[in-house]
Amino acid sequence: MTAHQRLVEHLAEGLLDKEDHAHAARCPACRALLAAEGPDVFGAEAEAALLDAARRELKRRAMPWWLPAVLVGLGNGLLAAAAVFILQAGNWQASAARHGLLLTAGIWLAVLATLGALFALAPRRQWVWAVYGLAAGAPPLVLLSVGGRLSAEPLLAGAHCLTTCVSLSALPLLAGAWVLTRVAYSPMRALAVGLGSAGVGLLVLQLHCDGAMAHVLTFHLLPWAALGVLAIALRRVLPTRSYAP
Amino acid sequence: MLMERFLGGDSTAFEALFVRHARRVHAYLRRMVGPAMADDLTQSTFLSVVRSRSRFQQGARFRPWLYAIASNAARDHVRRARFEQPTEDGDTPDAPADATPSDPLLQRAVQTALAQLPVAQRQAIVLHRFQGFSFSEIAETLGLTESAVKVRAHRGYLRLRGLLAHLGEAP
Repeated sequence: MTAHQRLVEHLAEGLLDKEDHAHAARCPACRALLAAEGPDVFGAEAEAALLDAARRELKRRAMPWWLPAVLVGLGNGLLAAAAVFILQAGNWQASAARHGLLLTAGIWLAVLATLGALFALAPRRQWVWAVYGLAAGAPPLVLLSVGGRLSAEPLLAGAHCLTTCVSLSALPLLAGAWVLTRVAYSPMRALAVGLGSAGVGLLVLQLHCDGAMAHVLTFHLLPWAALGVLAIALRRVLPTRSYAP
Repeated sequence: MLMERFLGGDSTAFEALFVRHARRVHAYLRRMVGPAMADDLTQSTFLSVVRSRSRFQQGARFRPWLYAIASNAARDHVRRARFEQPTEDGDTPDAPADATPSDPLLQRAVQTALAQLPVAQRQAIVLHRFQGFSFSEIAETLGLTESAVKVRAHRGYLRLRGLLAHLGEAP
């Protein structure tokens, strides 16, 4: 191991010794690695201006972090309920034998759509995994509730479900992206919020449409996943109001 | 303690936190994104502290949280705009052979070399080498494991050393 390599190893481990410093004294490149902090250039004027801006911000009342997420969740729940009421739960009426599975999948999706934003925005990053757990469980539950029926209709005949899913999820997605601007950009959080928001469309279709396996996969689940990914792109272009983790 | 007082509504506690940390945060951001953006990002960092104080977890340490915010601000800036190159042609300036650690030319050479590192490695090195963070504190700040931080720092130092090789090497 050369003296340069030894110095780098020790620097990375925080174990610099006399030998390293002696080498750095002879070696300009290694000496640069150990360069001390330069003079601070944060002027008193800039510092005072910054403190003034912070004081102005302090006069505003701080909103609890969970409040916007809860509002988004409530909005998602109300929108889903209204859409089910208007479009009617045709799938529920058409399939008495599958009520248990339909109900399980419906409750699962309702939890995802209403609590997804709250879990995704929790200060503890680990909570985002609760959303991914819910999202991972959604496709199998939805497909199970179809009951293994195969489609007898042309695939594209159900394209209106795609439109329904997208249009019902658009507002929740925008609201979710707005809430996301209150924390630092994080693709993981954005995807979680996106999957929760798009869960509104998936939930309504779950109760409304009695389509078969291929239809559900193509026109319910695929748009739901795509809208989740779209949330990342949407958040990426929006300005950030706070960089807090 | 100060943060808990601030969360309890004591605005003087915020000013005390500001006085204690602002210059160090500014120096960190200067190394991360260059001098032109450091003022703005320092402002964004402290405004984020004020706006998002409800996200601070009781009992957590303030410094890693503050630097997590500053790191997010720096990463966001780098993502949105190209890093400001200190020299017009982007070349690393040469430093005289007898440069001392506080030599401005040497500082500039280091700053330019730092700017060429990937953000993740730059963060680990600046926090470790220039801000005096321990690896466990960096891990807490960046939401990584300590071993992941060590790997980033080690790779970063190796690369930095390579970028500074033109300054001259002892045999």
